[in-house]
Amino acid sequence: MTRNAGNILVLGRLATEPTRLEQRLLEAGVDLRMAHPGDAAHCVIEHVPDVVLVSLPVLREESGNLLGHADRDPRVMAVLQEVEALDLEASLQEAMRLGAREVLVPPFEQDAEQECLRILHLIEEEHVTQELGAMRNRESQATLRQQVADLKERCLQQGRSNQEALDVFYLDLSRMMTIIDNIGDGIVFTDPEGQITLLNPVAAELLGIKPIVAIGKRLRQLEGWKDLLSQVDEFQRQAMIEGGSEEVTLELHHEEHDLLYLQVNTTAVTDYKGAFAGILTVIKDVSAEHKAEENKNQFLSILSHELRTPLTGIKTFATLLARGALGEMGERQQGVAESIREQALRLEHEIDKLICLGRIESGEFAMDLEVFPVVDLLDLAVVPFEQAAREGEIDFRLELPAFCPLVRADREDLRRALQALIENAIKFTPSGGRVQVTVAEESDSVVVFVEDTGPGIDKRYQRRIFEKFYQVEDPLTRHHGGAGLGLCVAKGVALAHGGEILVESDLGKGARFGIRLPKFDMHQLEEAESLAV
Amino acid sequence: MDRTVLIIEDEKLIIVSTQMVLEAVGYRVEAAMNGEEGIRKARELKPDLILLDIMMPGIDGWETLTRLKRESETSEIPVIIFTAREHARGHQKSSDMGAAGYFRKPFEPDELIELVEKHIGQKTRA
Repeated sequence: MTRNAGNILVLGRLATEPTRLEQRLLEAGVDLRMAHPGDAAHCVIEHVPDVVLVSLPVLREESGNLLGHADRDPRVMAVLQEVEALDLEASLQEAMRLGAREVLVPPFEQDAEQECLRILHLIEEEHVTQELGAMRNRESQATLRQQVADLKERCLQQGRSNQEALDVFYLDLSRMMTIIDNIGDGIVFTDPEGQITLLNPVAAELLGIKPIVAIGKRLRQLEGWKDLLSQVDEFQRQAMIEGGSEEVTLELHHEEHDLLYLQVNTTAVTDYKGAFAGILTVIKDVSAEHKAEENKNQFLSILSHELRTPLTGIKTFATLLARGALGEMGERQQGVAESIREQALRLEHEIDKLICLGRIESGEFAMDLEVFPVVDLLDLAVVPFEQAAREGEIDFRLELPAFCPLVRADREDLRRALQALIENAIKFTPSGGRVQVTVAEESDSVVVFVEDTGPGIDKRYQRRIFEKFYQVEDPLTRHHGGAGLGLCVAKGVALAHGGEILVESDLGKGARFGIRLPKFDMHQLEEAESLAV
Repeated sequence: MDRTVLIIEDEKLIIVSTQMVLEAVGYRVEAAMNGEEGIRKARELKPDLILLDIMMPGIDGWETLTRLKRESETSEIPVIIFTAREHARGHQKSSDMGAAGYFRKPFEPDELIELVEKHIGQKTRA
């Protein structure tokens, strides 16, 4: 449609024959169309007029059909009749209420030029409005296109980063599967229905099943090493009910491998939302460790018997020689006999610690328990150090309370532990220093303290000194003997008796070690015995 | 009359060293190298005290103790278990089986003398 000076729809009959106003509008190039009032809606949609000229009575009937139907509403101009112009105010208000933007008041012929200009102005206004609307439309379309472009770019970026994440995920998955397939432990994963979803080669071999057959099946449905399959199935069922993680060591006879020790760990797995996702079972063959432990225990047993027995002989003979019980000896020979005895004692002491340490590590501790006052033990425990203290010019004191509570302990192990502390104190205390052994009673425990005026221990090393073979000094340049087992043994003995080891020290200010043991309540024992009877 | 101690022990070294220590303070010490021999000598000699090793070939110390305590001829003789190996609940077990004491090797000569004196003294007083 070519754009002319404007489109005007004249709806219904306005007044008389074409007037000067109409004539003038036609001359101005306006496309003037006449339409029947009943066609109002159709014409507005079809022709999209800029302005509709309509009489007030027709406007009353057709206002609903004029506005709100086309893409844009025309500007309505109500043309009043002579009679309506008489009550101009009321007519104006009614016309405006019905949607008219302008009102033409008769007689139109008096100033047709002016009325024509008003209508043309109205058309112009409509054109400007349309132009503005179109401009806004174009702007919003451009904005929309930009937004679409941005969105597209974001989608592409998202797609790229999703792909990268997927690549990383597959790489991780591949790494994880490689680890699972090559790890030395057997791994089985079952879903919440108990069906196997993952089975690595070690688990397949231990269970005697093939992954290709096992995946998707339950353990109890499989033909393999029935003893292990049924045990693992039972552990998984428990884990499914109780949740958490459980570890058990099984001792099973296998047709091919003879006796196997298998450590089975079952863990209930939850997904990131906390929902139950299945059971992870890790099976570790610990047969070699058990064999090593057995060998170690056997070795310690041999050490215990085969070394202690000749030591008894050496020590006894040396003692008898030194005392002259086997005949008089010269001073030199007597000194040699004393030296043999001392070295035998030293060897015995080190063997004792080694055996004791072996027992700590094998968990067979505090096994020969007696009830006795701890002071009884201390009287004897300090004897071997009295001479060394004298020779080193150390003021060595044992201060015992008048009454000392009972403890329930392995007498020999506790003696070793206390002697380890005393030996350490004597060893590190310089000439002129002091070593003091005291006993303190607490509400439900008893503590034996060994305090020295030696060089003290740096705070940095105070935790490590209880480690096996640990020495604060460099072993190649150190001045003091020993294998670094004494404090480790003392701590192990204290813990095995339900007690604890204590250390307080500052560098240059000496050290105070202590062994705290639970106090034994004789009444409890009597009550327990009477109940047992 | 000399007080007699019977040592039942398969290690010659221990027998000899024990003999030396105890004989030096006036005891008469007899030895048996295994459980069977020890029971026989206990019946014959009626010693004042028996020192009994646990780990021995043939019948071990626990079995020997059981038989000594079962027989009327030997049941009253105090027996001290005398072992180089650490046994779980050794004190309790030896006490439950009727032993008078439990003594771990290697021993100090003075400790051995004190222990023997203590048990023989108790018997004499009794």
